[in-house]
Amino acid sequence: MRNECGTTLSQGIDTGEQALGLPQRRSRNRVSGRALIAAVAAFAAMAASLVIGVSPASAAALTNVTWSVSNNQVSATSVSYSYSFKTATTGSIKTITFAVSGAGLAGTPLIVKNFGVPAGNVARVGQTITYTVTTPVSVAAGLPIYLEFSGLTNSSTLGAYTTNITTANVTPATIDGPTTSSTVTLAATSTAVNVAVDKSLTFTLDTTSFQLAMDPSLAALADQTQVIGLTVLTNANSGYTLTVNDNATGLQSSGTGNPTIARASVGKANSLAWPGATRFGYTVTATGATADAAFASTKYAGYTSAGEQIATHAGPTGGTADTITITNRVAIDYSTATGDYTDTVTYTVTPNYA
Amino acid sequence: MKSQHRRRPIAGLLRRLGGAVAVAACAATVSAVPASAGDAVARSLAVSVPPEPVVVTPGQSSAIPIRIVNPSAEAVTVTITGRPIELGDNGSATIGDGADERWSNQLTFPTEPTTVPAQGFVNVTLRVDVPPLDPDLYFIGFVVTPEATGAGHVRVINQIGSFVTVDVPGPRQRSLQAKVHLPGFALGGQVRGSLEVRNTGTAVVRFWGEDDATTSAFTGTARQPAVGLGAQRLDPAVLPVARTRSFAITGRPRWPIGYVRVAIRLTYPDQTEVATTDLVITKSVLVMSTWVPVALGGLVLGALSWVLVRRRRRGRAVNEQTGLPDDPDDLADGPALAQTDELADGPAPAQAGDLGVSTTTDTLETVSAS
Repeated sequence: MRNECGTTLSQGIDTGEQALGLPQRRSRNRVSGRALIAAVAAFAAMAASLVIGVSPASAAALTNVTWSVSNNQVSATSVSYSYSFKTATTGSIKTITFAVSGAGLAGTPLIVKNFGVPAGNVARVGQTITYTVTTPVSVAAGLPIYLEFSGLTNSSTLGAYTTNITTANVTPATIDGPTTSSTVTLAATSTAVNVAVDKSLTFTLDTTSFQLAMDPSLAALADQTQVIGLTVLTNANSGYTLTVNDNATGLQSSGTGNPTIARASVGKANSLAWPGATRFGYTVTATGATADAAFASTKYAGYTSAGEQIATHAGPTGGTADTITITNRVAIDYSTATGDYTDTVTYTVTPNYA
Repeated sequence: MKSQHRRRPIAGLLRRLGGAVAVAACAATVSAVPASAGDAVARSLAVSVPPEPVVVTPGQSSAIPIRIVNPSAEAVTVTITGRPIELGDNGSATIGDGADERWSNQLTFPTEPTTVPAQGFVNVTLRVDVPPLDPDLYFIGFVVTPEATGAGHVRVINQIGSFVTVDVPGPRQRSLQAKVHLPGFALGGQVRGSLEVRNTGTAVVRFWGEDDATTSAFTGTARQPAVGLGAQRLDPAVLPVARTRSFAITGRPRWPIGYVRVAIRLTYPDQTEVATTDLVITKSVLVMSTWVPVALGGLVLGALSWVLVRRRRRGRAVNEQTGLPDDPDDLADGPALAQTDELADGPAPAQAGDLGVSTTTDTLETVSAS
C-alpha cells in the first residue's frame, strides 16, 4: 500500500477513494495527473528559457544609472566621480566596470564610499575604472548601489561624456549591462561652481554681565536669580558640547579676608535642591539641546574651575537655534559680609567631530 | 451730637488711611529700584573651519584658514589661543586647559587680540609647522575668547572651542571591532538593540556602512525588508583610536511572530584608500508580538474546555445507555434524557450495524437507531 502510494500518485488516490466508496472520481484524478505533468513540462520550458537568458548577449540593463563629477572643468585634478544605479538581475558581483567614453581620463582612483556591494579595490586602466569586490556575495535584483571614487583627472578634451557600467561575476560573465549613464559635459568656458560650506558654529549670549543688589533684611532681596540665555547654531554632523567653568570658588569679595559666598555644590555630581543661604549656584534647562541630567527637577550645582559639561546636541541644529537657559541664583543672610562679590563665568561650546 | 461724634472718628480714620496709602506708595516707589541688573547686550560669535582634513606634509609649513564671524550689533575683540582637545566617544570633543604639548611649538596664532567688526568677519591664518609624524589624522584645538565686557560684578563670557583636522598622508594601520547588542528573543512589536564600533587600530579610521534588516516567518529563505528599516546607510564617520561610536538598531517582523535578521556591514579603507575592508555582523532575533502568547493561551484554554465538555457528554451518553444519571446529584431526580444534538459530538459504542468506519456521522446514525 505504501509502495503504491509512493510510486503512483493516482493509484494512491484511487485506493483511498475506494475505501471511502467513491470510485467515480478516478477519471477526474487521472485528468489532474495529466495536468500536473503538463505544468511540470511548462515549468521546465520556462527554466530552460531563463538559462538561455543568462547569456551575456541578453544581460539585463541596470536601472536608474546616474554619474556625477565634483568638477566638470577639462583637465581638472582631484575630481570625484560618483555612480549610482540599481541592479536588474540577482547575481554574485565580482567586478563593476565603468568605461568612460572618449579619451584622456587619468589619475589614481581611491574609494570614498561603497554602498550596496562589499568591500573591494579600485583601479584605472585607460578609460576604464574597475571596482573589484574582494569577497563576492549574492546581490539581489533591484538593489541600489552607490560608488564614489576620488583622485581622478578629467580629460583635456571638451565635450559630452558618458559611462557604460557593467556588472560581472567571477567567471567572468556579465550579470547586468553594459548600461549607459547620464551625460557629463566637460567644459573650459563654463564657470566651475564649487561651493564650500565650512564647518561653523555660532554661539550667542544675551547677558554679558550682571549685578545683584542684595539685602539680607528681606527675603525677596536676600535670594535672587539672574537668567542667562544662550543660543547655539551649528552644522557639525555630530553636534556640539557645552561646558561651563568659573575662575573662583563661588563668589568672592575683594574686601578684607576675601570673603566668599560658597558655591551650591562641588560640581554637578553633587547637584541638589536649592539649599538656601548662603550659596551661589546655577541650574540648566534647554530646548533643542539636552541638558545634563544633574539639573533635572530644578537641581542646582556650583561652578567648577576645571569646567563641566552641561548640555549636548548629537547632530546639526539646522536653522533653528538651540536655546539653553542658565539660571544663576544667590542667597545670603546676615552672616554674609558686606562688599562687592565678583566672578567670571565662561561658557564654552565645542563642535563635536564627525 | 452722637452723629457728629461718630463722623469725626470716621473722618480721622479716612485721613489716617489716606496718609498710609501715600506712605505705602512712596515705599513702593523706593522698592521699585531694581534689585538686580544685567547687561542685556547680546554678544554673538561664530567660528568656521575647513570641513575636510587639510593635507599637510611633515617638515613643511601649512596655512589653515579660520574665520571669526561677529553677527552681533557691536564690535567684539577676541583672542585666539591653542588648546589641547580631548576626543571622546560618539564624537564628543572637549577643549582642555593650557597649551597642547604636541603642537605647542608648531602652531602660530595671531598674538594680539583681534577686533571683529559688527556684522562682519575676520579671516585668520593658523600656521602649522608640521613635525615628523606618522601618517594619520590629527586634531588641532583652539579657543576664541571674547573680552569680558559689562559693568556687572559677575561677568559672563561666551567662548567657542574648535579644532582643525590635518591629514599626514600615507599608509596606516586601521582596525575596527564591532559588537551588536541584540537579544536572541524579543517579546513585542519590534526588537531594539545597538551597534557599537570601536577603533582597535593605531590610526584614526573613517568608516561607513549599511544596516540591513530582513524578516522571515521561521526558516524561510525568501526574506523581505523588515518593516520600518530595510537597508539603512551609515554615513562616513571618524573614529579616533580607542574610541567608540554607537548606533541604534531596530527591526520589526512583518508577521506577529518571525525572525528578524540584522546584517551590518561596516566598510573602511585598508592600509591605503585604494582598497577597502569589510566587517560583517549578522544576528537573528525571534520577535513575537505580545498578543501571540495570549492567543495561544486562549487556544489551549479552549481546547481544554472542549475536552472537558466532550468527556462530560461522553459520560452522559454512557450513563443514558446504562440507565444511570450522568451526574451523581441527579440520582434523586431520576435519569436525565439524552438530547440528540448532544450525541452528535460524543462517540458511541460500536454496534453490530456499524459500517466499520469510525466517523461522527455514522456514530450519530447508530446511536439514533438504537
